[in-house]
Amino acid sequence: MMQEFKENMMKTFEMTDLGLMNYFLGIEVKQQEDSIFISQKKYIEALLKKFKMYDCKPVATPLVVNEKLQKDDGAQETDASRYRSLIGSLFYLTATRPDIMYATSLLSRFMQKPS
Amino acid sequence: MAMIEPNCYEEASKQEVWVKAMEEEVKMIEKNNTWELVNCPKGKDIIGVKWVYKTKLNPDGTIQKHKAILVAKGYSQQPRIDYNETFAPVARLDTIRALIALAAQKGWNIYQLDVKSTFLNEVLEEEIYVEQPQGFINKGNEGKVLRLKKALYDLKQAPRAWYSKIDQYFIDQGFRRSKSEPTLYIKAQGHYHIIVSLYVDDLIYT
Repeated sequence: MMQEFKENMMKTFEMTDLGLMNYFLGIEVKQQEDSIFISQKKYIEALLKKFKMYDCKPVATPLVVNEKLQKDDGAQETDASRYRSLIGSLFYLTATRPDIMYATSLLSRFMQKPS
Repeated sequence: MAMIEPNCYEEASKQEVWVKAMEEEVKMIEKNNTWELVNCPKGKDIIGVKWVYKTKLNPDGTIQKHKAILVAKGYSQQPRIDYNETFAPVARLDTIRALIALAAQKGWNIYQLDVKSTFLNEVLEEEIYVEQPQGFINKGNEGKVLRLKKALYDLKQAPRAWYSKIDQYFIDQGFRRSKSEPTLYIKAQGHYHIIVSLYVDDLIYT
């Protein structure tokens, strides 16, 4: 049935058979015997490079504990467009990293005037 | 090696790789029966076209190929005159993740197909005229324009034209479209099911 579907499809449209799915929309997919593993390694690496954080030290917790964010904390303003771009990218990452969902949403509440 | 992508025709026409790439693109378009040369129609807008140049890289960073793409200046199209409907759905990421989860649970394999030059495949409903592309103006017919029979990239109605076509195909093949996700199709045959999710020109099935 699968074979038939594919052959029919390829006859009707000009298509490339990519076989087993292993990379789709920036998500790497590893299909194993009894499990499927998804990751966005490439995407994360490109993101770290784009925001010049490639050599930063990784930490295990996505947010600083007990830090309270404020509308105006007196610090100098940063590039708002860059901040929005980063938030958007982080949201795309939540596809495979639900653990950063809370942190990303929290940060996204401060897009008006980031510092 | 020309690593830098040229920004305009004047720049690209000086380099052999890009000239070749443009020739290939025009050949492909003509093979596809995309347009025909006609006299300039009265009272119709002529949409401009533009060359875009891209270098495709292999995963290891070496150059795979130089690609010249002819795009329509879709931004100059006016609603109700040049186009009517433009909406085309794409799959939500959640749907794709759910599909992966389902496959993992059931022990299915997921396969992937991709369509070569998606938007160039569908027949247009509207009457659309474009100018002749730079570098490929028909000698002796300089004043003529091209009537589009099929879509070009960046034309406002290109994605919709494609979606209508593939949607019709799935329906004809006996697939059911999901009510809440218009890019998800299911077909059952006895104990077997095929689930297809469409993301513009990429599709996965299990």
